[in-house]
Amino acid sequence: MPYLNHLLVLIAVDIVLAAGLNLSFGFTGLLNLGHIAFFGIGAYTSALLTLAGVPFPIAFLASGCLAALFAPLLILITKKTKGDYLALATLGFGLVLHSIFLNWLSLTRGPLGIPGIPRPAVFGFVITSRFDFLAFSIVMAALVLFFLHRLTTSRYGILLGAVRDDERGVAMLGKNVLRLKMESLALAAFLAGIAGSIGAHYISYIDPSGYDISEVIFIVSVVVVGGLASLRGTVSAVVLLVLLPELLRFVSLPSSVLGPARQLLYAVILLLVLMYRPRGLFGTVTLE
Amino acid sequence: MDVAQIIANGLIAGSIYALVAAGFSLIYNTNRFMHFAHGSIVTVGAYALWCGFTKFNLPLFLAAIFAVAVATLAGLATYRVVYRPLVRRGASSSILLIAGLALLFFFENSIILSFGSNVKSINYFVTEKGVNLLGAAVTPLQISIVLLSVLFLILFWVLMRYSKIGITIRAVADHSELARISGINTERVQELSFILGSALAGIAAVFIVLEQNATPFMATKLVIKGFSGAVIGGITSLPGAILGSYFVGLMENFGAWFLPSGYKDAIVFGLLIIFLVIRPIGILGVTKGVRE
Amino acid sequence: MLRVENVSKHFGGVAAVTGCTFHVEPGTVTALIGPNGAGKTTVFDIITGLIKLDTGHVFLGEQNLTNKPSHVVANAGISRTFQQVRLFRNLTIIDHLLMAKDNDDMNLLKNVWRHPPIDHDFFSAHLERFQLKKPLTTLVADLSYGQRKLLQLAMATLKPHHLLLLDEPVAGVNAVVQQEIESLLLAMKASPTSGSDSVETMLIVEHDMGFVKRLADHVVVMDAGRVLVAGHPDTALRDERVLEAYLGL
Repeated sequence: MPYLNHLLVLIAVDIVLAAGLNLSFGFTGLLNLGHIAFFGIGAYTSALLTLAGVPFPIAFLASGCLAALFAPLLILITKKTKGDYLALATLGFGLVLHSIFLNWLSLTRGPLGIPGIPRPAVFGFVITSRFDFLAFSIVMAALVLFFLHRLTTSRYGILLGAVRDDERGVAMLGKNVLRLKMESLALAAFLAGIAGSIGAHYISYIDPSGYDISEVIFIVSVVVVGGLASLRGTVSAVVLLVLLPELLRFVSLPSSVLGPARQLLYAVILLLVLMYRPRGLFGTVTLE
Repeated sequence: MDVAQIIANGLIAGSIYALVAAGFSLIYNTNRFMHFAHGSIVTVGAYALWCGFTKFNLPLFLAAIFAVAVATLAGLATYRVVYRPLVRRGASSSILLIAGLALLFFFENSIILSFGSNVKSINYFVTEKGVNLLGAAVTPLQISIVLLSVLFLILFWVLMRYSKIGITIRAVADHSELARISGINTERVQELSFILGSALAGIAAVFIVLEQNATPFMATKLVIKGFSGAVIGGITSLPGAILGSYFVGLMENFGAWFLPSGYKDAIVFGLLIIFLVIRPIGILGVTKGVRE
Repeated sequence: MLRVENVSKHFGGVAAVTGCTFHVEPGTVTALIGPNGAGKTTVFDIITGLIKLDTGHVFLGEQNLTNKPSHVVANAGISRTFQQVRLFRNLTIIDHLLMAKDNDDMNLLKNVWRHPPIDHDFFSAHLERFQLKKPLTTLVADLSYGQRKLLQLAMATLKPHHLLLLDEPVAGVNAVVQQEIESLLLAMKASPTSGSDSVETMLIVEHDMGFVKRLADHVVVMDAGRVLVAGHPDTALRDERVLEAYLGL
């Protein structure tokens, strides 16, 4: 069933994307509203490299690494200021990246987008059928979740939680908080980057509208609804929030209304969860 | 385009940013969180003006008052319905920021669903011809916008500086704990700052619709510019926030000399980065003699 | 061991600390005392790198710690507690102790790869020494204020250190816990904690004069950002300048 297959690939990609945001925001307390920009960097990097003949595995890793390179810069820029400034700086970063995707015509072809992104080939095996792609994306999501589970249950993960709760307290124990924050955001950006790569090769066409800053409402909703610092929560919330708007299709709304209706739905759910169930579905931590 | 024209365009944009930034910094200073949906209040005001003028056939002056009133009510509602319950529960500033983000998307998409996503303009001054002012072509409307903005900002500054309300607000901004102990109802003052800040946003909305038009998507850029202006000028200082906004308006128009206009927003962000790195307290900001 | 030399710090136009100089000798307990607003906590914040000083120097042994970042100061061997307890609200007791114990947690990939077993007995024994009878998996949000104060002390002493900075260790807790903390600190003078050298060296900010007299070998009296008197508790506390500062005579 192609429709179900399609939804499952979307869910797998969004799990990688949202788990990255949960690492930086839920586990480390870094509110990063430019996560979608890292997603876009990954998509464009992978698309352009593979079209230039670079093998997929290298393009895939490069898409994560390039996204990860920007993250420490954002931490350094805002290191003298309070946490709120990071949120706005990352949002500004997202706007700038979007305007680059849209205006750097010689590289990105602007609003025309990049068509014909090749199917990924891993060690000679070309992923062509819908089902192969589903298997590939599920394996990637599972690997990412396993890695994050190991990381967040380790002593390093405890340390990230301490950074979220009280940065100065962590510094007093002899830990370099700036380094921890840079690593956490870089890893989150890496995950967004590879999610971007998988998504781009799946759809085989990208244009700037897919990386508009407004998509951030979806990922933030996933992290808050699922619960801060809960991987199980993120997975459940991705499934829920990807499938819920699909119901709108069945009440035969005109397609021009679908996008705004979907975002409005997310905004309302997000507000309700923040106000009446601040821990989300499976959250273990609170921010006060 | 010559320098005089760029300065003129920069001052017009700066006036609007200054009205947004003044409200944003007022709300930030009394509440200590970033009211992310402040840009949406401008959008709501803009659509209220459009409705008042084209749907209810109000005269422009009444439509403008209606727009400011609706914006004020919308701002007050965000505080009463969303922020205040969260603050009472002890939510952190990043939670409040996310609530603001949700509100922003709530307003944006509600407006799209109610009015469509196309541009709305009222074409009040259709045939107006530009006059030549020191080498820049500006319309009388644009001159009035700059003058009226300056007038409103001065009025606001006088209100904050000398009136009893203003002094109370500044007391809460400086030291909310101390203000509470001295018997000031801080919640009431925080609410008041939402009312005043949203009214300024409503005024900005009127100018935006008269000069350009209303779109559902204007909120994000306005909040980024208002925030940038406030931070560059010094978010703790009202004159600083105003100065910073004019600076942002001028610089983005100067930048358009060197870069395609699509990068206008990138210029503002670049400026913001420079200030965050070299002078995070802003041009006129002060580090107060208190520790964390 | 610790040398604070001619340190000054202004906040805006207000001088918080002016020309402050004092030393802490190895193996002693030095009390930093003075009326409210004398600048004691500011001195602590300057030593631990939370506040940048305007002029002056801070040395630990031969190491220059002047205006070094907090984590560098901490790794140089200074452990600190805060007057208002700073703990991590969403974490458990064992999480806190693990972070204090060593810096093995700083390596991302190594921590993903290996989850070494935790020596629960070691940590339980350490907690027991600090009279904290709670399971290791208790969330700190579920501890009383006194228990948090004890946990903070347990962390500071577990962290490898040459010098302990204790900011009002008995403020805000009831008389029973005060008594407990006092005997703990006295016991530490006799038998140092696992994180320390062969002797325990402490610098303490405290208001309770009885407590200071019973514990301190040396006192440094501050007033209005300056050091008034330094010396043995018995003589320094009788100095008329000290009485004047405290009683406004």
